[in-house]
Amino acid sequence: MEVSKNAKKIVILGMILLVLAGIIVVALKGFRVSLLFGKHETIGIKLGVDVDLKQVEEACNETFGKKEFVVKGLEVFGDSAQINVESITEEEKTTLIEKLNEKFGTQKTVEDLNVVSVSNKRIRDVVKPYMVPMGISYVIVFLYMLIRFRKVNAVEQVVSAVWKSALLEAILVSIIAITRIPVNELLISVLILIAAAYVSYRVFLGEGELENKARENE
Amino acid sequence: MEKMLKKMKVGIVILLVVLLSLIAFWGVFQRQNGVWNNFIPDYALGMDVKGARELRYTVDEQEEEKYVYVDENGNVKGEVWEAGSPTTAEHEAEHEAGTAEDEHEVEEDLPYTKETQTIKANSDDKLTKENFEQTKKIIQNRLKKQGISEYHIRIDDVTGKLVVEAKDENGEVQNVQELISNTGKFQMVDYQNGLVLMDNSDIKKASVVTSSDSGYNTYLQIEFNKEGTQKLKDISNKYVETPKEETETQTEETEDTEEETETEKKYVSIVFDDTTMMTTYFGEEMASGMLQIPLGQTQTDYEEHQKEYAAAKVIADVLNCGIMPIRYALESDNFVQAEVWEWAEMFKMVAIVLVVIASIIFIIKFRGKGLLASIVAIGYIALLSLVIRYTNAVITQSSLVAYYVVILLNYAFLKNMLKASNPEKCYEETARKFYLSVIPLAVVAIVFTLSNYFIVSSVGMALFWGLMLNIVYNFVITKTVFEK
Repeated sequence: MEVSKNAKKIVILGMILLVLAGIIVVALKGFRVSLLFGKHETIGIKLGVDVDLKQVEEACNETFGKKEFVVKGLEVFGDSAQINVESITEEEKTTLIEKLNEKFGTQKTVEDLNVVSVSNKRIRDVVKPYMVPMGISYVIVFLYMLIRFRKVNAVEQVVSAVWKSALLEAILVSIIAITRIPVNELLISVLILIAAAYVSYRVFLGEGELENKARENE
Repeated sequence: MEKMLKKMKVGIVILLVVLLSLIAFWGVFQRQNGVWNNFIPDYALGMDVKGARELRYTVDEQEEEKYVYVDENGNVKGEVWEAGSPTTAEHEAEHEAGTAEDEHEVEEDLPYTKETQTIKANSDDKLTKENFEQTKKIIQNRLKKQGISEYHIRIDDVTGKLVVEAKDENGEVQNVQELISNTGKFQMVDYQNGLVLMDNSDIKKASVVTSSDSGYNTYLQIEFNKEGTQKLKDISNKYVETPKEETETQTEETEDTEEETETEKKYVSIVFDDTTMMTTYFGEEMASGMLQIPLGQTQTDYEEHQKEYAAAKVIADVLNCGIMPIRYALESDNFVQAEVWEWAEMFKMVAIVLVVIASIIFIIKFRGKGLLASIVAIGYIALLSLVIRYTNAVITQSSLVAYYVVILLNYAFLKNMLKASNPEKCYEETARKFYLSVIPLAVVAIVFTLSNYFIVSSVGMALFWGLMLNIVYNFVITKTVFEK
């Protein structure tokens, strides 16, 4: 019993420390955003021949080394590509065009590269659309819980669901911040669905309690 | 006998599930013009999975020399016009010399000086972070009012460069281009001299109204605020058709002057984004503060009318969202394919791996029943994939996560059913508790589906169809297979 109590205390302490660490990381370094989410350079090139994006990727690998990049097809004719990379130097531009010419047998020059800086997307812009629907959903669900579990400490159930789902999200967000997992739209929707699924789980537990109470009464 | 019947029933259901799976994962093919075509429709893919048109805008750097009215504080009060067209100081001087000799026209005294200024499309003092932010908000509002919810917008705080990614379907890109390229500047201008009589600050609301007496007519209806209403009233009394008595004798001498000798008309021009929409004069006093501007022609074809209505709605929405502080020029417009094709493959692979793992666990834990449950679960996935395609639910990266969630929920349902204590009432026992527990997710599904934001509604749709199918499929198929 004593051991279990201590273990619980350690787990809670661990969670608090994790959330604190997350807050510090966010305050000092912010979140790490994915390449396409953050500020980056896009390089458009029309090669005028059938472009195999895998070969463009190879050229990028040879040019940018460890730098993160994403290659996309440009337009629908299959003769152009767009390379997204954090930054590009003059030297890299020259190397890239050489590698592309080598792979596709073209005679392109650095001037044919259309390099444009793209500003970042804001995390708050991506989260914002979810805020109102999520808020409305939470209010409806908690009202439902208050009615449904009125015989088994409904208020306690709701308060517990609120703070525990908030804690769960805080822990997940802290892990994302600390481990520097790149944030993108996908990750945000995963977090939102986890919150919704957790509340469902709380309702599932509440249903169990209701069943137990019914059995006791019988 | 009863056992035999039950076995047959289960067999038929399993066959049905297998057939469904084949249709969903393989397709139904028919040879048409020598080519095998799949009858089953394709998935509707969102912008982040399919690709998008990428519109790049730069701050418009155009500058032009204009002959303008300037008030005592140095504010430009309008461009000097001559009969509806901008004029220059030189041209005006020549014209004045001519008219002085003829004593042809007497110009009204205006409380402004005239000077030639270099007018930039965006003056330097406008290029601030606040204005870029405001521009972005206005564009977002315009897109929202036009019901365009699937887009991404990025703006550079320093250079003001704007990148908008929009869906390449149903002419949406053209609509987006129009919404961004128009600053929303509205002016009512004195046709005779170019002086601005009314502008955006006088507008309360703009809307589109239609009439269908002898064909469809579309009007842009502008409702003015208190100040604007008074201005419109004064303008409607001033810019009218009046008898032209004083100049009668002079004009009689010139050719082709029969009409001019009778009346003189003072016109106003309605100018939207430096383009004259209409030039007119008033036949009666406009005291209601409402102005209806006819757009396009009388249409007898309803589809053409709808197009005109949509175009008018763009103008109304642009006016309602306020004037954009920055004018943008389109730099490039490309279709950029999504890099997510590899993601889609990864999603598929992960789904297959998860299904295989779940099936193995079911078989190990529940033996024969576990195998049946695995087949039933695959049937659910197959049917879900058909429902998604036939309901045109759009697949986005975010909605794919929601599909995972509903598939996992179905596995949870099956697991609870296999574990149920009473095999005769296993469906009833499981369904009651399970569906009461997923009420929060059902609420999220409905609320999200109703959202104006495409990305949110795609998640809602995925949850909604997943849960609906769960109820129907488990009642029809799972119950038949497992309940004794």
